[in-house]
Order: sequence, then C-alpha cells, then structure tokens
Amino acid sequence: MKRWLLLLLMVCVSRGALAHKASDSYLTLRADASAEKLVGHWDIAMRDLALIVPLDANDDRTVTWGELQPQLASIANATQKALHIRTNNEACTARLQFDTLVEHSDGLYVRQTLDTDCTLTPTTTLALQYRLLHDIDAQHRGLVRTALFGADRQWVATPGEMPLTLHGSTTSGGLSALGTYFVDGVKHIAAGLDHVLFVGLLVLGALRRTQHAAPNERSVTRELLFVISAFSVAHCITLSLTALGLVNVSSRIVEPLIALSVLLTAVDVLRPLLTSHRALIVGAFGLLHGFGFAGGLTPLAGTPSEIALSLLAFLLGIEAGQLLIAGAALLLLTPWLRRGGLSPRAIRFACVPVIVLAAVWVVERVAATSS
Amino acid sequence: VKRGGLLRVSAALGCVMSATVALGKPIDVRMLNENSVLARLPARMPSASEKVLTPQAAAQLATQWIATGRATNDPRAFGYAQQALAPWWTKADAPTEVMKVRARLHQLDHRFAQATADYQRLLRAQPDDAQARIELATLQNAQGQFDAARASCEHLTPAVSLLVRTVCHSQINVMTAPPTVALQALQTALSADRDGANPAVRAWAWSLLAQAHERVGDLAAAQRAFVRALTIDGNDGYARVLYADHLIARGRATDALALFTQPTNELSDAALLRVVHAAAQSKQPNAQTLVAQARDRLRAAAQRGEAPHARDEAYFALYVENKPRTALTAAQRNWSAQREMTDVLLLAHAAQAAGDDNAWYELQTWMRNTGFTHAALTRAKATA
Repeated sequence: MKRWLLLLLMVCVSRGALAHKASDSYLTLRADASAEKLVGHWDIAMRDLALIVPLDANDDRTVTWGELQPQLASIANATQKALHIRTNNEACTARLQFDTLVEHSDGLYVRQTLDTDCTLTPTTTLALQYRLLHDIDAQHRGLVRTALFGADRQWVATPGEMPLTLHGSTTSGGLSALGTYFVDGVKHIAAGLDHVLFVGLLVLGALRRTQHAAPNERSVTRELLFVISAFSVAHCITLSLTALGLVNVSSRIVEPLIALSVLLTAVDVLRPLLTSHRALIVGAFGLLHGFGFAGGLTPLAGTPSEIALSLLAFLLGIEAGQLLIAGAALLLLTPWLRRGGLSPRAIRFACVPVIVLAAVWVVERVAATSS
Repeated sequence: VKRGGLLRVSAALGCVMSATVALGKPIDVRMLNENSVLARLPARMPSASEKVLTPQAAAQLATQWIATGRATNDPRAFGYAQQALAPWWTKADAPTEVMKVRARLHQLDHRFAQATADYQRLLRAQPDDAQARIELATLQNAQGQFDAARASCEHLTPAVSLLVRTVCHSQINVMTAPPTVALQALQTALSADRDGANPAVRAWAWSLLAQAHERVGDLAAAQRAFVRALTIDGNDGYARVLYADHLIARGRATDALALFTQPTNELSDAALLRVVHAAAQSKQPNAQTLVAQARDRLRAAAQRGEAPHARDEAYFALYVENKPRTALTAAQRNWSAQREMTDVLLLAHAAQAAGDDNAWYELQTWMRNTGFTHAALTRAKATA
C-alpha cells in the first residue's frame, strides 16, 4: 500500500519535461584599446547573486535598488573569487566593478566591468577557470564570448571543471601546458652553471679515459653514453620522488653536496681517483642533482595522469638540455680529438678553474646553510 | 492578498523592463529609486553550507528541489537538485535512492539516454519497481519506441491502480491505435477512479483524453478535457502548453494568453513561445519585445548546447519568424530525439509550409506504419 502511494506521488514527474532557461551568466572578454590588456564585462543574474551575497535586507523576497546598492562591493568581492584567469600559465589579477543593470531574457542582471593585468600577445596562452556557484547550482553555466585578435568565439564554462583555453598556440590547453613543462626542464639545466659544468666534466672525463686506447669518436661516444645514462637514470629517480612529494630533502644539504660533486669530478678528470665503480659513483651524483632539479619544477596539479604527463615533459626537457650541453662540449673538443687527444696541459687548463670555482661554491653553500 | 502582491511586483518589474526593448542592453539606473523592485526571490534558496552526507538525505533534498521546480516553474531548482546528488552524479553504481532521483533529473533535462540507462539499472536490481517501470515506458514512448514502451507497461503488476495502468497504455495508444481505444479506456478508468487519489495522474489522464478528442476533431470535447486537467492540477505546465496550442490553432489567441499570468521571464521556454505566438496572432503591442526575449532565450539555450531545444527552435522559426525551411530542418533534427504528438504536428506543418514533398511523404509513411492519424493533418493534406 505504501509503495502504491509512493508511485502515485511520483508518477507525475515524467511529464513537465519542457526545455527551460537555467542559470547562465554572460562573460565577455576582449583586448583593451592598446590591444595589450584583457578587459571585459560580466553579467550575473540577480537571483544567482542573491545566493552568494545577501540582497534582501528586509526579507520580503524582493530585491530593490535600495537593497542592492550597499552590497555592490561585496558582490564584486565574492564574484572576483570565482574567476581564475591565467596567461602563459601564470595567474593574473582580475578586478570587478559595478557598471549597470542589464536585462536578459529571464530578468535583470548585474553588469560588472572586468579589469585585469593579464598581458596579451598573439602567442599568449589564455586560460579561464570558472567557479561561480560551483557548490550551489550544478546546472549553472558561464556563457563566455571572446573577441581577441580578430576572432569572435563563444564558450561554455562549467563551474569547477578543467580550465578553458580561450586563446593559445594550440586549442588544447593540455598540450601547451606540457610544452611549458618541457621548456622549463631545458631552461632549468641550461641556467644552472653547476649542472652545465658537471655534464661538461663528464664529457671531458670520458675523452680522457678513452684516449689511452685508440682515441676515436666511436669509443668516446660509447663511454659517454654510459656515464650520461647512469647520471640520467639516477636523477630521474630523485626528481620524480621529490616532484610527487614522496621524498623531501632540504636544499641546505643538497646544494653544498652538488658543489662537492662538481669539485670531485673535476679532480677526478685531472688525477683519476675514482677508478672503480664509476657507474655507481656517477649514479650517486645523479641522485644528488635530481634533488636539485626538482626546485625548477612548477608545483604539479591536476589528475594523476596529468601530473604524470607534466613530470614526463619536465624530465624530457632536462634530458634534452643535458644532451645539448654534452653535444656542445663534444663539438668544442673535436679539434683536439682530431689532433690525437688532449694534452695534460689542456686538461689542467680546463680543470683547475672549475676546481677553484667548485671549491668556492662548496664554501659559499656551506656558509649559507650555517648562517 | 498574495495575488495583489504578485500583481504589484509584476507591474514594478514591467515598469523597469519596459525601459528597454533590446535585450542584453543596459538600463538607465538613474531612473530607479530606492524602492524599485529589481528581482523576485523564491521562498526557499539553497546554500553552499547545506551539505548532505547520506545518499538518503541527498535523494530527499533533491526530490524536494524537483517538487519546488515543478510547482514554481523554476528551472534553477533542478540545478540545486543535481547539486545535492553531486557526489554520486556520474557513478554507475550509485545507491538506489539516488539513482531514482538522478534518472528523473536526466529525464527532466532531456538526457534520454542517461535516464534510460538509470531506469534499466534500477529495474535489473528490482524488476517489480513500478515507478521505474512507468517512467521508462514514458521515456520510450516520447522517443517513438512504442513496442518497447508497451512492453514496459505490461510489466506493471496488478498492484498498480487501474488509472495508472490505463495512463501508461493510453499514452502509447493515443499515438498508435485508433482514437477510440484511448478514449474508451481513459473514460472508463477515470469514472472508476472518481474520488481520485492523485491529482497529477488524473490531470495527465484528462489531457491524454483531450488529445484523443483532438485526433478525431472533436474540439469542444478536447477543450472541456483540457480545462478539467488544469482544474485538477494547475501546476501541470505540460497540459497548459498543450491547451495553449489547442486554443491558438483555433485562432483564440487572447484566451491562450490568459493561460499564462506570470511575468514572462518566469515562463518555461515552451510557455514563452506560446505567449509570443499568441501575442503576434492577436497583434499585442508588446509582441516585438516578446519576440526579442524568446530569441535571446533560444540563443542562450543553443549556446549552452545541453538540453535538446530543436523543438522550440522549430516552433519559433515556423510560427513566429515565418521561416519554414529553417523550421523544417530543426523539426527534422528534433524528430531524431523525440516523437510526441507535438513533434509529429510540428514536423507536418513545417514540411507543408516549406512545400517539401519528400519530408511530407516520409512522415506519411511513418504515420501509416505506426497507425497515427490526426484531424488537423487530414485537413492539412486536403489543403496541400
């Protein structure tokens, strides 16, 4: 009987399935007069604003102009938090200010002007994350219109979902973000003189060790591949562990040790100390450098697969940078190689300054940690 | 008192709104005073802090929002309902009570495939769930899957009332069988159920009866049945739209307009389109403003790109903008999603207005195969 009653209560719902006007906001974005800054305006329904800012002071279920005016600053504040705009992966500041009231097909909306410090160029990647009413109305949407660089486009922003890439070299936000991580990786190794010197020393050491035998490019390449791979495998391990937050070693320990690794490697090239277990030693140094590389990685965010892809892009960037440096070092040393190898004088000439510099780093970095 | 207040507010709103004709255009705020009413708020508003933890509580809250949405014709309430179900919204193994409400929300928003999938999951677990069974039948019927719908109705157990079973079958028969079949079954079931437990089911039965009368061209009887339906359940927005179509087709535009008393911004898209059509037919002074409002709504719906709006698009193009080719394209697009009586008539009228013999012939073939006949189409054919 109870079940039967339930059926009768609910049975009506299947009809009444008429399309309807759900909650939408209208966001228009364009470049300002100088064509350099992103500006625009945003229309939000009064009904929706009433859900996040109290607009009915006298509780009579109507919003009057007298009730709205004192709340305009709160509206700007609350809605500002719901727009996250990024250019080239960096957050920019958006400011909203009441402009006027606007009539849309389902009633009056509050229009606010949008000012940002987002700089636009034709190659800028512009991303929007939209969060208005994300925890109140699952059917709310932001209807976004962009007029940028001569292209007029429309978008639908779903609160709380992945950011929309409104402008950029590629329509896929994911790909351009991966590109950014790759470039970050290359930049990071190229910008750190300690890493550059270390790779250079690996090349020099490989040359030196092979020249007692018949010095030719093939044997050099084989030896070089061996040490560079050991270094790479090792630093990929520690870099990944650090980036994923599984391991956290203080840079106060890592940085002096990296300097020490450069010093020891330079000495080794000059007067071989580390004759046995070469792979293990280079690997150990690689582990150290891996901790150092993690500092250059922008904090990873997103779903596990996105994090994995970003990390992979950063690692590939580091490897590419490292191969570039090794290639350049090899190219630089080719003339000596052709003339029958490096003379002890040439090696001394290369290593002594590095030893001095690395020693200074060790002292500096130890001093920095103890101060 | 309530009605007086409502009228005052509507008048105030109308005052503010008539300041502009073009939509999405700013209004002059200097013309406002402290007491100018800008918006009406519903009696109950959701809040982000209103978090529910158990599936039972979530399903209950969502059910309340659906009821609110239906009673007040407020589509935002369905968004609040969906929010209440957020933790389970995309889960195939959602708890039963959540899945029931989720299926109804999918259905309300015309996501027929998801709704069907949910009902089928529910019925696999509980084959005797009459509620899920009748919802599924209605869904299948609306998409023109008449055999599947009939099979669903036949699964209803005798424990279900005669009126509910009759409504389930009659919604199919009114499309596929000779008109007398649904007429007789509904009249019998309605008179046996005189004291009526549920007004919504009775209203549904009366509006099906009205459609059956329309099919044979008994317009006076159809009108009486529509009035009965709306007297029993004034909240039945679906029956109200069907009745408006009935009146407009008979050239009684002012009577159709009188069916919709709320401010136009609170009407469903379908209701607004009937108001626009009737206003144009009866040459109301605000007709152009209404047309702009409807166009704006359709544009927003198209941009959202979610609920299928091809039916509304076709209606607007055919009866308001007088663009039969556009209307026919939209009606054909709509045809692949839903095939209720409204959709058949819309497609037929669009094909006829566009003078497209192929479309007309295809529809005739479909009608012959399903057994659908309609007095309005017989007349249309005669004049074609």
